[in-house]
Amino acid sequence: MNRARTAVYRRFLYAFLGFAGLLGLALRVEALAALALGGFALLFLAWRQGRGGMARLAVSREVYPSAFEGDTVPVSIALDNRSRRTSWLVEVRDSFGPAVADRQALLEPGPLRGARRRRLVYRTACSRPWGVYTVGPLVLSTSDPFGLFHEERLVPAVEPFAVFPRVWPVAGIEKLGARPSLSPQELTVPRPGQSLAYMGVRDFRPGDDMRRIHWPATARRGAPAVKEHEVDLVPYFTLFVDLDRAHRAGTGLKSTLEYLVRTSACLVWTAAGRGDLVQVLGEGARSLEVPPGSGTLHATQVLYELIRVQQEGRVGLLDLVDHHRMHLPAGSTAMLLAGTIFLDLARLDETLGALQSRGVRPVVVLVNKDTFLPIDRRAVPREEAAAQADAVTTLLRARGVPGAILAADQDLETELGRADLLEASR
Amino acid sequence: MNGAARPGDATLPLLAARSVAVYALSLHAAASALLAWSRADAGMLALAAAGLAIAQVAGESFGGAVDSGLEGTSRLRLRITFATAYGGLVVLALTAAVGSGEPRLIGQETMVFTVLQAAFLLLADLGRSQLGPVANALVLVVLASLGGGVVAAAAVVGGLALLGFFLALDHAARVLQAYPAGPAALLAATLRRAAASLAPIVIGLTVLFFVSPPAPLAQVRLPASSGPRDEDVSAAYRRLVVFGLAGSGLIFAAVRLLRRDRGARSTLEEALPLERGTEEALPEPPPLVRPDYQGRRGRIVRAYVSVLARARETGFRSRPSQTPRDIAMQLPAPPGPLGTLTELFVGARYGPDEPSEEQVVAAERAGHAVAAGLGRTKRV
Repeated sequence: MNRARTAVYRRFLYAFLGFAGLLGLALRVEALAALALGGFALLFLAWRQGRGGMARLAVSREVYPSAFEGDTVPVSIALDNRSRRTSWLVEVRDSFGPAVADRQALLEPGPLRGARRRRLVYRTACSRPWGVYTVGPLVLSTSDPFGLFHEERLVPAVEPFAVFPRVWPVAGIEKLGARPSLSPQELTVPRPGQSLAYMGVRDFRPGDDMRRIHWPATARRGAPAVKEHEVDLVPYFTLFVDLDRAHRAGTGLKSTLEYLVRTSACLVWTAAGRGDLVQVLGEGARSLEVPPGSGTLHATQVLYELIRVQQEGRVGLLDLVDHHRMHLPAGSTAMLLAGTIFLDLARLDETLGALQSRGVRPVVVLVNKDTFLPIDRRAVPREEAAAQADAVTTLLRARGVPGAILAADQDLETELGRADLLEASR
Repeated sequence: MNGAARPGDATLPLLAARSVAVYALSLHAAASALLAWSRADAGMLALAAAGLAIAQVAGESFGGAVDSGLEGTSRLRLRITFATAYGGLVVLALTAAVGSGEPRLIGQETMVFTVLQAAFLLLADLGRSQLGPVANALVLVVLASLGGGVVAAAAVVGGLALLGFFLALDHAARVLQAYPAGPAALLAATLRRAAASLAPIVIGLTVLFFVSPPAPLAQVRLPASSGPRDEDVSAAYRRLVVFGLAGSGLIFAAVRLLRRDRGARSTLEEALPLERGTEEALPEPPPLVRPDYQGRRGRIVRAYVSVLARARETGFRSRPSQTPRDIAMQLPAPPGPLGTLTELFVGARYGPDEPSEEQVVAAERAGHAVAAGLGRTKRV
């Protein structure tokens, strides 16, 4: 509500009643003096009611602390009237950071009786891009019945609110590693391993664990026999994100950071959705290390870490992979998400070879930073960039590594949704 | 925002009632002034009622068109110029009225301000607030009150009451206008709240005027037979009520039919539709249980608490954040006994050991000394 209009009436009454009172006293006109007296009594009553109306009102907010871009979020405001009097026309202003408007204004017209609580729910959209925003503070305001005295109270209920990038399914990821499954615990293949799924019995070999001897079969055959179990094949997905500050380019929605974070979010969400164990590693201004985990809650944790990263690191992607590759289990998938196509090809070849030799399936996605607006260094000439892209593609094809190159002029949603995105021949 | 009236909107009855209130205030003020200073016969009252009603309906319905071509700064400049000119006119008119004491002149001024009242109603929306009609109505009340008698009393009491109702309805309407249309029916509640607040003022003024009827302005040279007779006044007020009701009915209906919503809100702020839950009873707060100190501890604590109670009687105020030693530093009492009592209290209240009988006696003695000292010492 416009407070200025309220003040106009009040100031006018101060001036007019003062003038009338003085006139009445000076001219000894009782009616004028009484008019001033009655008017000031009205102002005094209004002032007291304005103060009293606010005294025992309390407000609090309940909101789930995260959502995806574009989501509509319900925010619940609990308005408590702890006095005995009924409250009317209580205004509440909230500040929902991810929305376009600075403030959200709500009106509880009343009646809100004494010792009662009313929940008000407003819905607003997360219109701003991914990031961590604040919600709050809350401002509670009331007036006297005549609207002459406006009371406001700031309630410092400020909470963080995470907006995650919108995620799209990455079509090519299905072809990597295990098949999609509703239950990751059932994912096994019928070859000898350590899972709980029983496969059969075979002859004892030197080195076999004595605890695995199948005694009835041993007795029957007269030679030691051991139980065999299937190998576990719970999909294991590791994402290495390049947060090297040397690979920064572009601004806003067309920047390498934007592409890296959005692509990471899509990959993680898709992998988690099919039941993978997902871990994410990166070295930005601070380390990005999310240990392996599965399920939506874990994916949400990964997204929360991703939206807080900054492309301020000084560790190259290949150094990062070399540092962690010894811990990757055989049969897992390692996604290398680089911010440039100008990786050291010899080292890349070496790293891919090392991963493959450990039974890890590498996948490489490169964001071509030279297609974005240059920030602190010049873009590489187009011909040179094309030659490098060809060289990388040739290397990946030679190694049989699935991969893709993303550029600024490509629509990320369309590209990530392409079925042939992660094919070595692209 | 210049949108159409919102169907099912609870604001419309409030807007219509506000128009009725400002019309009633205008008519009451104009009629009172006319009754006080000119021969306000039935024809003149009818003319005033009809003229003000037409101006009000026209202003509410088409007033927005007048300022549609004005920029914000032009509108502000126009308002300042107009307010200055109007203020000058009011001061000049009142000075002339009081200085000359000529009833004919005051009567002519009354006519001028009555016509101005109609003009203000016609242009009410130009200022985005209804300050113009309200101010002019109060000037008419001032003119009426100069005449003294029943008319002045009725002008003041009725003027204040109608002003209060107008302000309450205007406030409720403006608040509701700033939000999306909703089903909140606030008309009756607003009138009830305003009436409850105004009742003591109206009753007080009525009693005051009954006990001491207001005298006219001493400078006015009234001929002996020129004052209105009581029968004439009561007949005029009866007619006024009839005209006022007719005009109010017309305005209420017309505003509900023709009014266009002109509520506005900052572009940085979005007024959101709400899902209102049902009222829930607040949980009762847990009862405040005072710790009960038994035995010798209790006697020392009671001695200390009684000293604090005595200190409060002398005007001393302590904050909950203050420790006993903080309080001792600020309490205007003899420092020796106060220090003893404070230390014994701290030991008894927070210490692990049960105090001895000697300590209890010492605390009670110190308590008496401090209380006696507090009686003689004023708060610093």
